[in-house]
Amino acid sequence: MTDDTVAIYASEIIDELEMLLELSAGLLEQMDGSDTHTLSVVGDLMGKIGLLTAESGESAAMAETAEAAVAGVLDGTKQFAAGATIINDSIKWFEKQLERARAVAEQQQGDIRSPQDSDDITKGGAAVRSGERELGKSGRARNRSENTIPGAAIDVNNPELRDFVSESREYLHAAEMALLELEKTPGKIECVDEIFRGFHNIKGIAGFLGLHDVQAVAHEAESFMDRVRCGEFRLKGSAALAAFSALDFLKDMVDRVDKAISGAEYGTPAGYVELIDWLKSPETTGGAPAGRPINPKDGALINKDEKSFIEASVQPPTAPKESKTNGAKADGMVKVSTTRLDNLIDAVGELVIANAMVTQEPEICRTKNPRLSRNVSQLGKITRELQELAMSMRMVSLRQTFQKLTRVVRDLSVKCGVPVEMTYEGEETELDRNVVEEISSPLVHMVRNSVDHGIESREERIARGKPEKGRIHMSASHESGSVVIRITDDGRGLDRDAILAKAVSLKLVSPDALLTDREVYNLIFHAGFSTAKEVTDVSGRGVGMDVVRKSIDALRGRVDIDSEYAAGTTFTISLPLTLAIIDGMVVTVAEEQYIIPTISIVESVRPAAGQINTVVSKGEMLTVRGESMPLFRLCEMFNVRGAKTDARDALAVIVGSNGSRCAILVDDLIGQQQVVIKSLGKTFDRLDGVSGGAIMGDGRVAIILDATGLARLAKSN
Amino acid sequence: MAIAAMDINIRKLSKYLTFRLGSEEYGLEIMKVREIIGVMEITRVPRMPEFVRGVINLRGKVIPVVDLRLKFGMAAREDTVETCIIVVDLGDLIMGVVVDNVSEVMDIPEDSIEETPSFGVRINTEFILGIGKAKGKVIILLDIHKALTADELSILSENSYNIRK
Repeated sequence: MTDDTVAIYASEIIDELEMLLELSAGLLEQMDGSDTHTLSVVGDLMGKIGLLTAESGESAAMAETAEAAVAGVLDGTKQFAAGATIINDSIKWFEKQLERARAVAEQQQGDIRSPQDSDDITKGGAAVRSGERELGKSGRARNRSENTIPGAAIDVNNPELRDFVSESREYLHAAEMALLELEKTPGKIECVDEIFRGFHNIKGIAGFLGLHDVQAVAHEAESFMDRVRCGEFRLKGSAALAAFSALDFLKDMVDRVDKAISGAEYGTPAGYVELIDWLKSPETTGGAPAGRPINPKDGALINKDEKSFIEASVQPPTAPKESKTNGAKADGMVKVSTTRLDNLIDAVGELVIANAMVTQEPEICRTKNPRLSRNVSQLGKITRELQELAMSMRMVSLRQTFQKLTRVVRDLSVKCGVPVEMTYEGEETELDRNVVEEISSPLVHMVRNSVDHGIESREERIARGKPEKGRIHMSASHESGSVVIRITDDGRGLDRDAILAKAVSLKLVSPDALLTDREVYNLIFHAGFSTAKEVTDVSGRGVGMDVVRKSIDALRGRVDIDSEYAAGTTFTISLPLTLAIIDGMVVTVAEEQYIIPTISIVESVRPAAGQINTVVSKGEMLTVRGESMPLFRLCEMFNVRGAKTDARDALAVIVGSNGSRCAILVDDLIGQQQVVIKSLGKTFDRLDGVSGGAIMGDGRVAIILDATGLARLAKSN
Repeated sequence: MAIAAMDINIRKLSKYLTFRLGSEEYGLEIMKVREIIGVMEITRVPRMPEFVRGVINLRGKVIPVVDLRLKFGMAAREDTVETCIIVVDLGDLIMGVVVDNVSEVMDIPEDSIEETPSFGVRINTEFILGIGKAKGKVIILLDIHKALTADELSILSENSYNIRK
């Protein structure tokens, strides 16, 4: 050993080196059995020591040996005991060096000779490593079965776990988008970096929190991406599938951690060992483990046959229009608990009611006091502003939803062997976060239907003169107080005759009923309806569309279908902007007041003599511009006495969507106003036709009607 | 301090809010009573049984209101200036109960409470805790939870749903 050892072990580093060594030694002492967490901490410490002593080649090598030993234990290629021994020896070696360095520093002389055993240790380390290499493939095979799944210590009370879940999801989402982009343009190095970073960051936090199985997967995935980055292989075919699988697996693990925080038991998902192996050698392992779905949630089987791997391309979103959200990028962000946010919004809701009660008080309205008048007006203005702000806090854009759908389309496209391209616009449109959450499932289902049943096979499309790739286009926009989401595909379109036949067989309509095209299309929303010839596990079980309709109804929205045979189908969903405050029309029936949400009203009409007809002297029918629909009297449905009897004096409110409209007869319309919806409580929640209560300006409660429920009620009476 | 508080609670256990329905006097455990308000405009909820009068706005919260007379099968009566709504806390549900008038809070110790006599199968007396005697009056003590159980009400609304089917 040369003088440079003396040089580097100069007084500046001696103290720090001593501290690091003490720490490492101490940790090793306390460590028991197979505490890989502590071991990895020691590994990091050895790394620091290596950096500190880097100028001495030997010291650096020693530290590296120790670090490598730790890495080996963590990824299962080294036995714990062997690794621990190597580290122990390394620490002892450094301690000896330190002693000598101290002695030199005190005396400024002396011959520092490297202790003889340093060579042995390094040789020992090298031997273990080369021994492993010699084992080669057979060794790997043996190690495969020896691969234990490292445990994960979930400390439910650790608040950092929650952060881990939300941060990991962000990283995974960004990585997924980059991965999709990379699939389309394989050269893009920024995408590779993004994906690498995602895995790297997750690895770091997971390790720190003791989530070793997550850390291990992330580590393999990161190494995998590193190899892509170095150009070892391109991200196509099986390699791309490996990357997607790793992503999905990590997603699943993060979800399980999330559930574990709420008390569920944590377990590493199945397929762990196979995934690790696959990521280690994607080319040799030859694709997904046979028959095992890597993506447990979607149930999407990875197609082993690379030839039929079809790329779904992602069109980058069109240039975002000028919107308020652009400014948000410049602001900082704050994390707030959703409970607090909800409480705040409830309180603002109360304020709106209280404000309305004050402003509508006759004494206030009539006041001659200009100051009072001005102050009340100011109060109203501030309340409105607060209301808008509170509502906007719950708003979330559809971007993530649309992006998720892109992934769904891609996976389905592969699975069904049908090339489909999904484009979208208007993703910056914002909705209440609850609505965005609830609308996600229905959208996924509709998109699945499109890919599975709507888009024809390549050959069919070419035969029909359509572009080879099927197209699904989603758009979202604000239209007169609601958000309208449209899903258009250019596939087969709906088969009117098949639907009608199925409906007749299900006894939904009588065989000789005359229905418009729209009415026929809307039949698919009935429970148990499916004209698919076989039920695939993607869709076709007939449980989908009625659940879709129910979900949209529950959000007080509407869904309409339009279709052209052989040309395509369009679903149009319209949703209210907020859940808690709605725009309603106040109607009266005798002494009672009711509110009908404006979004449910198609139009209201004062019927003329000729427009009303009786049918079999029991039912009534209203005809408007050639369209006939049943007419129901609200006073009869709700048993209200003293209502108007002559329909020509009354008001017919037309509700319902295309194909199943009906008219509800009320006495009069007294106005339109925004009301805060109050739940009536569980006593009344199974009441058809009533969706809640609203507190009016005079403090009274008015019943909010649910148009779909009303129609249902009326027809069943 | 704590002991004093506990003492108050124990003493509260034997306190009942008494009210009138017709010529009969009833009692409710005071612990279950949240407040008493004068009768106000009650919004009718359609398609509910007669004894469910509807809902009211209680400082921003919408709560259901039940007419106890009708619930007990007595004849209906016009609201007067004495008619009150007793707001009760049933644990998972807050509900209002319309009564003819509210009398007072009485202390009825256990030894003044007798078991409810049985009237045979025709009359269900499950919701009566017992018969209390105080100040020379006979007070029918109610188990308000059983008397107003939401289950019953939702069974009713379920029934109306089933009938429609």
